Amino acid sequence: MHRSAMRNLSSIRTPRNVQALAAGPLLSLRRVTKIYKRGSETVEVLQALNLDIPRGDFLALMGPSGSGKTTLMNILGGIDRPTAGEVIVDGQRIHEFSDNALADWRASHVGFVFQLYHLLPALSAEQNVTLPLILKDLGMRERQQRARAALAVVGLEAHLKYRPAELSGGQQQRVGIARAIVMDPPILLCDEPTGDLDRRTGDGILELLQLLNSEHGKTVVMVTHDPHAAARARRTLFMTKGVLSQEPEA
Amino acid sequence: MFSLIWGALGRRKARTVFTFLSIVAAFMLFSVLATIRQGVVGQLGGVSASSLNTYNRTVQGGLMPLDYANRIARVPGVVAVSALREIPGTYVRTPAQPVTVFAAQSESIFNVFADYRPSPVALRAFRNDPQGAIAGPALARRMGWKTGDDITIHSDLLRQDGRGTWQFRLDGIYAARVPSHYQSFLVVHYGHVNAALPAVQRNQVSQIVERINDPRRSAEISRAIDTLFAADPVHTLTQSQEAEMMAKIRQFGNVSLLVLAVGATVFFTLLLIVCNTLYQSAQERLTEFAVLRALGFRSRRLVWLLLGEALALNLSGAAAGLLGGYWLTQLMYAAVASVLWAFDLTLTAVFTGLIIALVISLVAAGIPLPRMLGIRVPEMLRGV
Ligand SMILES: Nc1ncnc2c1ncn2[C@@H]1O[C@H](COP(=O)(O)OP(=O)(O)OP(=O)(O)O)[C@@H](O)[C@H]1O
Ligand SMILES: [Mg+2]
Repeated sequence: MHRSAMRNLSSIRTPRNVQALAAGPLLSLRRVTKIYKRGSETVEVLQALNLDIPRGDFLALMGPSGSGKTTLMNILGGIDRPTAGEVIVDGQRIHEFSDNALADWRASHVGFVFQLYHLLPALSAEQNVTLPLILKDLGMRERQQRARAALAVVGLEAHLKYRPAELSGGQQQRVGIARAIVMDPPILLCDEPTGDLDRRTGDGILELLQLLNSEHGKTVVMVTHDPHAAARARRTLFMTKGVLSQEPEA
Repeated sequence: MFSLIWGALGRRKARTVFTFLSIVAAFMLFSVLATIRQGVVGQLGGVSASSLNTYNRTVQGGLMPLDYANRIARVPGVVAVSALREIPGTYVRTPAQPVTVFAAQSESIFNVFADYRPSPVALRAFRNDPQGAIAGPALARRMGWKTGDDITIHSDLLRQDGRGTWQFRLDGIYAARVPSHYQSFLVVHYGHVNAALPAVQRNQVSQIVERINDPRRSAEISRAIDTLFAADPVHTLTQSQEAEMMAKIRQFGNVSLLVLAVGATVFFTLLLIVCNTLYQSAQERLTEFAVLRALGFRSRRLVWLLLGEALALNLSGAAAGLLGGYWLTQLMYAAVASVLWAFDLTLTAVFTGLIIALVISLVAAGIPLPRMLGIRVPEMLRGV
């Protein structure tokens, strides 16, 4: 990929992320339960789930549709709350955070990559990547520098001014990844990042995620339905009806 | 933040442009209405309640004996009196434009019209010059007169020698912050004019003006003056300048109410348009708001985003509309200035407009707010 640009981005890393290989898991779920109520019936999507994800891990999450993968990712990323249980990230019990504290925490700790990219259609690639930086007290110039560095990492330095509608699916997902890494968070949560892409384009995205994991120390959790994609990860867990296991259910 | 607001507005360009134009049009109408209202109501501003006018009540527009002025001077509360005869005429060089000559008792006229200020030099020159004249600023400007000019006026009022030609010399121009109607007089010596008239025409006046010591007693003193002549063949009608102006304003109907009604209707319609635009725009972007929340935007920041969008749209539209309205009223001014001398877009009106824009912004941003704050981020991000 673009290693010089990578180094460029590394230079703006916060010290917290550099002291990577400290002891203990980065993310850990303790007996996390998620119950949805729909009228009178209740659906228990996650059942007293335990999970430890060490720093520097690249975890692939597989499982049938409706098994609760997205629900798990949302709880890991602090955009949803468990009905019961604990979510501890880097020693912080984020399930106890207030809405605002959780928002601040998300901004600095998690980068989300969505299957549907979720770029803002009215903004250019560069503006989309700049979005999270609005939350930081930075000058215009530094914002621009960081956004361009992130876009260089994903190989889109020539497409700064393109609107999402003017980009291919693969390119849009690269912009999505650039947006996820521009704040230099330690964690990347990718929910079916290649779900809407063809094999070759998807491979490019997966290589990029591998690179971010291996060269940049990002802890990556990726949901996928594609065993070929999961093979890129360091390990794979299988989710079945809200329960995790090492092996796919027969 | 700015690019976000800008991007949101640019999302549906046609809709934004049409809404923007609605705002501009509404505020243009507002500034024109406010200007007309000021033109009517503002006339009261320069009018004095300490000045009374006495006319012939028996024959409307008729003359009164000069002696009335002396009798009025003795009414308690009256501090200065001046009698005058209004002579309709035209300036020789511009026969199409009427000039109102006020042949007034020169020793007292500027005591009564205390708001009219010729310079001391001009006043002294005038008093020492029987053919002298002092012109109102508006009149002098219109005619292109300068101090020292000889002014020949043609009138239907004939002199003793049978001619309607009256010669004056301009000794000065008075300054006045009073209605333009009062800025267009040509004040000359009553004594000079009176002496030139045929005997039957002499010692008659068309108006007597009084200055009183207490404006609150204007009605009472007016009554006292009129009572004075109850037994005479020519009765008088005395009222303050203010009362006279009020009567004139009443002819326009209740302009303020009309302006208020039209303005309220226009702004209510505008409110609906702006609300609709912003509501639709917010509704279409609920997923985007969810994305921003996921990226770590606090909900308060999203509130600012919505408000910023409303403010950017409304304030820019209002500013453009007020400016356009100002420009429009400048074009209209020449046509209406003689009737509505106070015709002007006041600072108060501009501020009122901006406050209205602010209120519209708050309301329009407030409507989609609960929906936006109530979004459930995980559900929105599922993309259904
Ligand atoms: N807001 C909700 N209310 C009720 N049920 C919900 C809600 N959100 C999700 N669910 C249910 O939770 C279960 C798990 O959903 P989830 O999206 O986590 O599955 P998933 O493993 O990501 O599936 P897919 O592979 O199709 O994306 C589903 O049965 C779904 O119907
Ligand atoms: Mg899912």
